[in-house]
Amino acid sequence: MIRSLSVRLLSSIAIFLAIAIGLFALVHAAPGDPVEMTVPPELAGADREAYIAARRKELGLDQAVMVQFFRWMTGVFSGDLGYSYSSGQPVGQVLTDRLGPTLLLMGSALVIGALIAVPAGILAATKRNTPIDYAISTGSVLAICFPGFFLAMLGIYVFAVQLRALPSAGMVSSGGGDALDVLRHLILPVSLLSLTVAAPFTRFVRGGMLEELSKDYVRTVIAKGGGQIRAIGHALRNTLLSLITVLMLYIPVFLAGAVAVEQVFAWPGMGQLSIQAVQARDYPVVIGFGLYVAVLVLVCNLLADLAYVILDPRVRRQR
Amino acid sequence: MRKQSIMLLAASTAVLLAGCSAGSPPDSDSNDPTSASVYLYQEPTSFNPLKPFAGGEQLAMSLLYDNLVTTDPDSEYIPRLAESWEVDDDATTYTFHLREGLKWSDGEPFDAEDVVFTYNLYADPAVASAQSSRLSQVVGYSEYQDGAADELAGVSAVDDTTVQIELDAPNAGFLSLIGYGPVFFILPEHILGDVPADRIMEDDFFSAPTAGMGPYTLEEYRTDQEVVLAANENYRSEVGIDRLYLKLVTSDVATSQLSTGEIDIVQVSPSDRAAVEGIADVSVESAPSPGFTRMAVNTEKGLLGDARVRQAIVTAIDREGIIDGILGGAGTALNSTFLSEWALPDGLDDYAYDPDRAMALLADAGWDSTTPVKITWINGQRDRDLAVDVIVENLKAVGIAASANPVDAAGQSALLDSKSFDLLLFGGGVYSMDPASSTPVLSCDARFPAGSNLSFFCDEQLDAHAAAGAATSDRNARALAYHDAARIDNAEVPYIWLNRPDTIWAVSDRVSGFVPNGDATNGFWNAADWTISGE
Repeated sequence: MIRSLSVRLLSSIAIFLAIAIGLFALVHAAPGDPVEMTVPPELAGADREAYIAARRKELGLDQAVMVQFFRWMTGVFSGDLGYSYSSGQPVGQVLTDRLGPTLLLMGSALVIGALIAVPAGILAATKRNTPIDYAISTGSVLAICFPGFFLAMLGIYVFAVQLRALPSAGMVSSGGGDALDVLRHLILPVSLLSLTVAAPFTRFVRGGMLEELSKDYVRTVIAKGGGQIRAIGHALRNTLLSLITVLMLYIPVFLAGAVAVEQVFAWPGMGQLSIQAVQARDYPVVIGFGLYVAVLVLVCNLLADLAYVILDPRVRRQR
Repeated sequence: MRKQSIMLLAASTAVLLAGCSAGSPPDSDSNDPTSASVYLYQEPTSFNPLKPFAGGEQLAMSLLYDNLVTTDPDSEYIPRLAESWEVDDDATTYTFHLREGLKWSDGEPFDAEDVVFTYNLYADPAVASAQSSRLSQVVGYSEYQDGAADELAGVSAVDDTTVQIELDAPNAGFLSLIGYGPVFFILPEHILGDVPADRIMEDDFFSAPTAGMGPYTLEEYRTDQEVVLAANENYRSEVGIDRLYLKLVTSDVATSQLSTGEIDIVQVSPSDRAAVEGIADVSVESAPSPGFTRMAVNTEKGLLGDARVRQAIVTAIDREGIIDGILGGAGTALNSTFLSEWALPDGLDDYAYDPDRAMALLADAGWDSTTPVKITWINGQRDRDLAVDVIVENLKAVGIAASANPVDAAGQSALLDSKSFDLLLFGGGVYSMDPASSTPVLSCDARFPAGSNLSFFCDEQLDAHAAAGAATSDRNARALAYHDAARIDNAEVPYIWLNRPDTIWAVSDRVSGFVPNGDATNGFWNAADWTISGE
């Protein structure tokens, strides 16, 4: 088991390196010059030339691409991702500053989404082909079908504009910032995001439960007089096992969804940062964000493997 | 990698916890401080006036710093740190009389030496300020640039409250270079005086200024969220609102927050005007902008160099239709690069929409209707994107094979560098109303890349008239000279003048005293006078 995990870890590092090289190459091949982007139209003549030359030198863009690459790569291994072109701050700090709000948003949505999906899925499976099942299934299909931004706009219109019950955007009120204030700002985006988690997972739990409930071991439990609840408990354990794996693999997809939600709700997280960085041709931040997503995907994959090994004795024995 | 991720996770959790507990609600003591939230359309990366202008930063800086003079909504110069000023007859010596007894926000006294220090910073080659060339006519500028002098000879403190600036050559428009809108903010010598010039650009002061002469001081900068400002207790007059929050959100969010009452002042685009007008307790106000939307014509390219073709293009475009249909009527058409009423003579050609006249002019010039004409612009701004659609159709209708060519900023620079564009639509820009400030976009010397003359247009007679207009401070003499210049400009059509759009502001009824300024970057020009009603 340790051997196979080590192989996975080593291959993850190799993949990370490949991604880093690919990202650097892609971003540098993209059209648009980061320095030209910052030249104000009013600046002309000698001032313009001097400004461009000074900025290029300052950002190291006057060096050959290979030199830039090796400098950057050495930096990455010593934990230095360079400096943001637009704000001048270290990229690591820029990313870390936004990681907190994003984790808060994603974490809350994942937890709440799972808390909705598991009972709803179980209920739908155990009440198969009843109005309850139909209601839950239809609800989850509808939630999958509606585009997230539409639900977000609707939420803002109803709860913020019409009812004025919740703030429409941001993470804190002006002058606010205590936990309760952040919580109020979380309600709308988290409701929306947790819905996008809950909808597919309800269907997944329902399907998994139906499959497990029809298996022999569940029938044995019932035949031995274990009762419905106990049978569900057994089936649930096996369903959750695969749910955790799917959840891990789903996190990067979920992050992409969070980017849109962060934009609509002006949530000061990674999503908003990545869009701003792309628009401003802020290469170091774009690459830094790309690397962060790559690490997230690789770590989630590793964790999914690990979770499977730990939770499922059969896999453990096989390896 | 794993360790790094764990550390990142741990660090972020700490940040998160800190974020949750940081910043308590504003003081709720008996005085009940007043506050207002204002939309800032662009996130400031620093508060450094030495750097190139960026609209959002200029707005924020106009609350923290102050300049000698600025402009009001009528584009007239108004006193700021300078209470009054004089210009000698041949417009070479400018004398500014500073207000007495002023203090920096940290309590230190302010005097003429601060002004001299700041102007030297702007001109210092080691600082490499983006504004440096605005001082190029000041006596001693080139010596300072070459290293032959260690300060600007032409800027001096006559006494504690008098500053004198001398120019090499007459320029009645000099004030427009240093006093038009939020530019040339004065910086504190007592804080920055010891910082080496070559390191000043990146000094920590500019990320969190500790002293300014503006109505507000920086209290906190919440990344991606808001800039929190507190009233400057040492400001020269009482500041009406205790705390301002500059909200860093998108324009869509800002518009929706107007209706939820979360934002009080928002600059809105013409296309959002109707929606915003429907919001209860919000007033919509506008003022004509000092800049304009226009198309530079590449006068070095084929028949575009023929004035008749350019006259045909401007006549073929339904400019009033664009103003009514796309800007919702919030704009005016122009027929000259000069904006001030007093600089414009009677009897200029108004180039009214007339496809027949356009076709006749084209035929006269021998235009070949298969010649492709690309309209290049930086796309993404709805008003301009829509205007290009109209222009393309209008031009096709008179036999010009027009097409749209959207680019990004870098693409536009490349086309300018290679002089390969046909028509280049652009706009905005802080162009003062003073006719002298039209010279950099018209004169032969200012042809890109030497200056901002993006049409590469050159007419020596026009230059001579403009130079005569800048060489005297006598308003009547100036007007006559600019009338001659404007007649040539109007006939030659170096730019296709589309419109001068209005700047539109939506203001919550709880805020009183807001006076809209057409110069969007100077929208907070009277922030000290704003008050909150009913509180």
